Formats: sequence, C-alpha cells, structure tokens
Amino acid sequence: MMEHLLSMLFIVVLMLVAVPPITYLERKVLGHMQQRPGPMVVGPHGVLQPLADAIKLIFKEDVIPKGADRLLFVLAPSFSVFAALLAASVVPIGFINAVPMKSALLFVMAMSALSIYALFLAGYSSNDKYSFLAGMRAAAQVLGFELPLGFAVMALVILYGSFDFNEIVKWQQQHGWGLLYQPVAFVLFLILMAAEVGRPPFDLPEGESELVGGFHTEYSGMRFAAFFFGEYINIIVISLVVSLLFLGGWSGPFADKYPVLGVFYHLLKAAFFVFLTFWLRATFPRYRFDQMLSIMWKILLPVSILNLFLAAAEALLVK
Amino acid sequence: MSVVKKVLMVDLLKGMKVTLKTMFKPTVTVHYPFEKVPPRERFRGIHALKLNPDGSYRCEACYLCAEMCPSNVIDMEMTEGKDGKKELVDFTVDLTRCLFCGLCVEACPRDAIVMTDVYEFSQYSADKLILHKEDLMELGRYYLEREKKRGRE
Repeated sequence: MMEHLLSMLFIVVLMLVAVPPITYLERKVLGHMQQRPGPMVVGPHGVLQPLADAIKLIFKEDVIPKGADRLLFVLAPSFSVFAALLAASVVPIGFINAVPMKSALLFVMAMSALSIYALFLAGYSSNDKYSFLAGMRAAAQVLGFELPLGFAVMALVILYGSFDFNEIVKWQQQHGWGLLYQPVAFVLFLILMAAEVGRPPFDLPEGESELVGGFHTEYSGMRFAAFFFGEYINIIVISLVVSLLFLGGWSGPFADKYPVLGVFYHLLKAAFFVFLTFWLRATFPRYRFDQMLSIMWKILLPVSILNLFLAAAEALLVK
Repeated sequence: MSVVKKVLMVDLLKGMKVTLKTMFKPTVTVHYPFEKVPPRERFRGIHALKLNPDGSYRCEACYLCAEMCPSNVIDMEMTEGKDGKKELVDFTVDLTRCLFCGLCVEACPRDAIVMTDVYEFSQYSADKLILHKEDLMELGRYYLEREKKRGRE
C-alpha cells in the first residue's frame, strides 16, 4: 500500500516537475533548428525562462468571456491535466508502477483519447467562433487517428498476447525488441503519436495562423498554462508508452541487477521520443484538414489493418 | 520508384536531416540590447548641427533645409547678431514627423546640418522628440568625435 502511494506520488511529481524543463528544452531545440539560440536572457542560457513564464502566467488576469459556458470553461483545462495524469498513473517506469493494471495499455489509449475532449470542451464553451472551429477540428481529429492507432495497438497486443506493460516488457526481454517485429506499427505509432497529443504536423486544433490560437484563444493565466501541462504530460506518457512497446521499456544491460538503471534506461528511451516531437515540430508544416483526414483514412487505416495479419503470422511463428 | 519513395517517406526524412544539421550550426542571432550591429557609414539617423572645430555652429539660417523638407520637420528662429550676421535663437527638428530622407542635408549650402548614426531615440512623451538647438549641438559634438574616429581608422 505504502509502496503504491509512494510510486503514485513519484509519477505525479515527475510529470508536473518535468513539464517546465521540457518547455524550455523544446524552445531551445526549436530555436537551434532555426539557427537562433532560443531563450537566452533569464539566467545562464535562459534556464530560468520557465520560472519567468510561470510567474507571468500566475499574475495574469483571468478572463472568462461574456456568454461563455462558465462551468465547462473552468473545467476544460483541469480535464486536460487530469486525463493526462490518469494515463500517466498506469504507465510503469522501471520498477515504479503506481497502479498495476492488467489492461494498462487500453487504459492509456482511452485516457489520451479523452484528453482530446478537453480541447473540444474548451472550444465549445468559449463562445468564440475560432475556438469553436478548433473544437470541431479536435473532434474530427479523434475520428481520424483513433482507428489506425487502435489497430496499430491491436497488432502489438496480438504479438505480445497481453495489455499489461510488465508482460509486454517480459516478452521483449525474451524475444527481442518489438521494433524488430513490428516496424510498420512503429512508424504508424510515430505518426499517430503527433496526432494524439496534438503536435505538429497534426496540431490542427491549435492552428495559430488560421484560428488565432485555436481552442485556447479565450484562455489566459493559469488556465491557459493547464492546457500546456496536459499537452506536455501527454507527450511524456506517449513517449514512455512507445519506448515500452517498441524499445523494450526498462530492459538494457545490467538492468536486472540494478532496477534503478532500468528506470534510467526507460526515461532515456522516452527522452528520445520527446525530442522527436520537437524535431517534427521544427521540420514539418501543419497538414490541411482534408489532407490530415485523407492520410488517416486512406493510407494509415488500411496499412494498420494489413499490419494485423503480419502480427498474427509473427505471433504464430514465435509460438 | 515514386511509390517506394513515398512509402519510405524519403522526402520527409530529408527534411528532418536538414533541421538536425541546422541544430548544430552556430546561431546567427545578435542579442540586440546587449550587442549591436554598427550602423553603415552613410546611415541616416537623427540630425545634428555640424560644428566648426572651435565649437561654433555653421548654420546661417537660410531656411533652405526647412523649405526642402517634405514633412515640415525643421523650423528655426533667428536674430541679427553683433557683426550683422544672422544668428540662431533656436533650431527645432520635430522627429515625430521626420522620415529621415536626408533632403535637408542635401539642400544645405554650408554643410551645417548632418545626420548622425543615432537610431535609438525613443522617448516616453512626444514633446521630448522635438530637438532644440542645444540638443542638436550636443549631437554635433558627438558627430565630430565620430568623424575623428573614422578618419583615424
């Protein structure tokens, strides 16, 4: 019991503490990819920039627009954070497993799909046409990416024979990394990961250029920040999940003897995928709405369904 | 061939290679308030009354600069001096209207009005942007010094 509480505390604190440095790193990486240094003024190389941002956001006036649905408007940002934290709670990091769950993978998928509802509710309750359009886009994006993502996950479940992350890692320790068996699912996952957390090139609900910021147009202060907490926690969780599913999670040299090393490996692998989201953001422009849907429905969905057969064949062979 | 290219996402990977390479290139940013790019030699900043080496102004109040100015920036007041020459009481340059075209400098027959390389002159109130004779002579001293430095280089 005590152990569970401690690991739960660890996960929540890790997620909340990791977000400000990640925003800083993102701005740095993004800056250098465009040959500029990123934040430089606050502290050495701008390391205190997240702190300055936090102070600014805390003291900002909190505006609720006239005619907004006040209850939903207030609830939407916290919904975003809590959906992300719930997803984080079932993901084991090394030996730290806050909520051991037999169907953890399913739960993560469900929760990160729910976090899109936060964007939708925010857009719907803002009483602003741009936010509303962004909310609609968020809803349509769920329809787009949920199916191929579900099929990609199902292929892995067929292969591993379990929804439990511990089982999945055990399988990979025996047979080798999932990446070797399911490269197609891996690529699908990388593409859909961006759509799931609403990052470029699939950041349609956020569209600064055409929707004035999208779903968070009307938000300010800490409510605005809460959306970003949700988004970045989602990125961390999805990165952890991808490294669990494809890169063997916490397995690595000497990880059996020293469990702490396993935690380190897992976080390192996840860090690569977090970096990948920055990288994609720096490289690709946003897809247009119809392009996004046609990619999802016409290409990724058939590919993910065909991939199921591959997974089934592999599962038979491995047995 | 193009199908293979699309399936392997060659073009997308090429793009990602470019951004990754750029990440390790040195940055080109000039950290402006801390670092400044020196202005070009013929940069047209705010005006100055050019001074003789003895510190007197060269202006003879002929009004040619004021006539030439397209935005009516320059105005002056003058009296008759002891030796019968015109003498400036005040010389005003209204920077709120100036477009830094340099026509006043072109017009001046005595090379009395010049443009410095000062481009940071923002103020909290508009009336501080109207420069008077003393301000312009101060700028003239700055201009002389800069000219000396340039001559040495």
